Amino acid sequence: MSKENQTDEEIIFSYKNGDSDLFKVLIDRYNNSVYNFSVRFVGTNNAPDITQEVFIKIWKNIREFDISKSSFKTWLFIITKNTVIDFLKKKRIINFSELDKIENEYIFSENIRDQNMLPDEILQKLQDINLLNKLLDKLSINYKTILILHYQEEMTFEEIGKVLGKPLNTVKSYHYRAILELRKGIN
Amino acid sequence: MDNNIIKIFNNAKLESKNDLSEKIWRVILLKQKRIYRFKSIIYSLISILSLISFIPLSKILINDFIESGFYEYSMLLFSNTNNLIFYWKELFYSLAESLPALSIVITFTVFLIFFLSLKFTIKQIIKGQLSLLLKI
Repeated sequence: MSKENQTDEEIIFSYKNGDSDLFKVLIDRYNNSVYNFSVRFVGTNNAPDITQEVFIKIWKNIREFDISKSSFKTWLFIITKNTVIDFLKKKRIINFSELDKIENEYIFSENIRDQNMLPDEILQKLQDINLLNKLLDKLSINYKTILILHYQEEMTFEEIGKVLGKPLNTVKSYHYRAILELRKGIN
Repeated sequence: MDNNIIKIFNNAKLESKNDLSEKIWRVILLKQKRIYRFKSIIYSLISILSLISFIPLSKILINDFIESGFYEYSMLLFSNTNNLIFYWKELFYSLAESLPALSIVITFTVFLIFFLSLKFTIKQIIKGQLSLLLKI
């Protein structure tokens, strides 16, 4: 099996057993995902440095990574999110209280239906990449994180909950409100 | 998950420059090389210090063997065989009592430190050389 076809877990197992070249495969695999996530919070000038910092942190701590606690991708984005937030705090772009702002949050039960939250006419408008990116930029950190990780990285709400450190229902609620914000932006 | 929404969001994904991945890998390799170099310096210093300390330690050990009487008792092993058969227990206890245990333990420990540090030094040098040959 070629290195590129191995799963994250197989690569990490081989890496821990001495095949240090395999770390490059992980960088190639997730470099764009980490960049895409970071650039939406820190801009194009700082995103390459943040991406580099994330992978250096991963490299330093990969031997302590425990596959039973979360997938590698979840762990990667936990580190990415924390690195981005540390950067934003250092630059005083956000303050600590902003991260935990409830924003009149209403916690839904588990039976949230998100069908038809984005009807076809809205989806048509969102096909304009510039418009979608502008709307994403206007969202808060948590809402933006959920939409990027759910739709661009195809992560489940459970995994996103681990990244954000929030319970599942909160993540679903955030997701619902993020979609509403998108619709508001278009209208 | 709605595939249409996923497609739309994926089209809006922002990509890094082509060489970012290579740049990150080079930075990591340089850090790795620095770690190998640092470790090989530390381990080689430890092995040199342990080798140097081996000289006075072995002198002390030999002195302790002589002063404790162990040398004289051990010479008895090669003397009168008849006496040896009768008094082997007493001779054995005398030998055990006169053994300079502390000096032996310290010398052996330093010996072990020397060999382990030498082994780790060689390992770090090989790892550093391999990474130099294969990657940078």
